Amino acid sequence: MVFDCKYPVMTVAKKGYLYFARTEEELTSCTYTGWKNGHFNDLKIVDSNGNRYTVKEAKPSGQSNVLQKLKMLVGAKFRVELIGDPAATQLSLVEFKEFALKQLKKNRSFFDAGGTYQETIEYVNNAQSIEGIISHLTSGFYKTY
Amino acid sequence: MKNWLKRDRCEFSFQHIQSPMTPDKIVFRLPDNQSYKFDIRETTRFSNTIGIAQTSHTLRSEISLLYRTLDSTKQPFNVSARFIKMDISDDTYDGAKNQMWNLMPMKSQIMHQAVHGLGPNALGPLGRLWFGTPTWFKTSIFSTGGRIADDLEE
Repeated sequence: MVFDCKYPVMTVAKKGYLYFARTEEELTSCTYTGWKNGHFNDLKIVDSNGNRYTVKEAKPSGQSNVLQKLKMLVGAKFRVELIGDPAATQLSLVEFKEFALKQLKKNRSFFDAGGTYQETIEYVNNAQSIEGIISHLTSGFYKTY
Repeated sequence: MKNWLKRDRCEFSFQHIQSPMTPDKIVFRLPDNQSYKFDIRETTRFSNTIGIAQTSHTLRSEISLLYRTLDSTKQPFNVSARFIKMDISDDTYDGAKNQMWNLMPMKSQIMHQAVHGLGPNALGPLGRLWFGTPTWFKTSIFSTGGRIADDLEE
């Protein structure tokens, strides 16, 4: 892991969808389909301090024997090693809000599925810190019903 | 004309602007006196576009969906009919697919994302079929499959 992130983090994949991670394990765990679809290629990570990192690619770590590779192919989750530039770009609160709102608009269908889109937009607009926004979005993302 | 229908957690009304048969807006009132307006003209326009009259089924489905999504749980719903492919814009498309028979409650947003085949936890084709399709459709597959197997046996 080359990135020194403060969790939770918000990630934006190349295709534009949002994903949130509370720990390093959640950030670097994936299924074979997710990895093969290129989720980690050009992935943007914004941590709770407002540092933005870019991941170039990810390589599976620890798949040394045949049994582990077989488990990976039948759908078990495995860990990957993220490869990218460790240098971060610092985002201000205003810049982060713009970035987050743009991404939320792209992911509107997901938030509309729970009827929370407008609520989320209002929360982001009125938020006072980057950490607060990411924590709020992360708790909604992992909430189970 | 307003018809307020009370439910246990929220109430909603129809605002008939054009005619009683085609209400333009549904207004939800939540217990904390917040209101939420939903414009259903998109659905009506969709119905007019493809030449089908807006049925009460469509309207009931919209109300049911909104009622459930605006409920305090705010559970996300997956719209599962991947077989519907129509060459119309996204905003009108929702009116056709947000039907009661086509919705699947999701355990969480992360699960919803996985069912769409997105994110690091993306499911494969079988997983998406199993977790993202309503039970009635899956049981009908097994039912039909079982009957065919029975016929072949005989």
